[in-house]
Amino acid sequence: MDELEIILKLARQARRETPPPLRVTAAVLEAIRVPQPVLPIRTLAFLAVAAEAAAVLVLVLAVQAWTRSVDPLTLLYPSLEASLR
Amino acid sequence: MDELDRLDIAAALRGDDEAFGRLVRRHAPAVASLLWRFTRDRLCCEELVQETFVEAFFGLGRFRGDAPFDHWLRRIATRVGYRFWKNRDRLRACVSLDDLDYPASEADLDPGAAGALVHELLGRLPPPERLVLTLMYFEDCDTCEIAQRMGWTRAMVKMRAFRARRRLQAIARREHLLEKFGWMS
Repeated sequence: MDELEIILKLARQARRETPPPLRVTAAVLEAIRVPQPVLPIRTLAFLAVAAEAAAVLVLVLAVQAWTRSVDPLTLLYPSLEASLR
Repeated sequence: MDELDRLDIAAALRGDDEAFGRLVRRHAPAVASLLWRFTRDRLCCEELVQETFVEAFFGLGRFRGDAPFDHWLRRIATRVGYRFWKNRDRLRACVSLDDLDYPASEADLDPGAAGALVHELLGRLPPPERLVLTLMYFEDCDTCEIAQRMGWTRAMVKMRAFRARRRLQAIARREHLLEKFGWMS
């Protein structure tokens, strides 16, 4: 018999154990009767639209900034303007 | 599904709290018995049982009713217990195995002492491995059932069971379990 067989035998014996009696019903009922904070659907919809608009704005600005930083032609514009002057 | 459970679930969904109270009274012993494997502290166990039923209440609308209600509750309870291990139990100090009572013979081996000993041994494993062996040893679950309860793949459960057994054997050797239970062989 190895160590794992001993542990398995102990666990089989432990299956017959019953936990001490617990009183939970009253506490559960009390917890579920507490009114849950509920945001009205209009508030949620407004927040969702505002968050989406902000996300789109950030995306547009990020794309613009990225395009400007990687386009070599944009680097020419300041020198072109200076030579025309 | 049990007819009484079906009626009480329907009533609870219509807002009858007392019907849910009846469900709690009927299923609390089984849930407590499972969660006793996660903590052997009475107050802690009580809190976990409450948490399980509160989660069940707020998720009752998602219960499809194609399996017995207690299977669904066991799934919630297992996840509650696992979360408890991950959040709190890792902070606890392990009891030295030498401080536990070791039975001198088969007749002295009572279920409570055996449970405490296995609980302490398994408590030395990381939570995922501990969970797999706890469900296998105490709940007689197979890998398929554990995978379903936890939303893990079966391969992952098998791998965790393999690692857990190897690690547990090393711990038991270090604790000289064979010598302490020499009368078993």
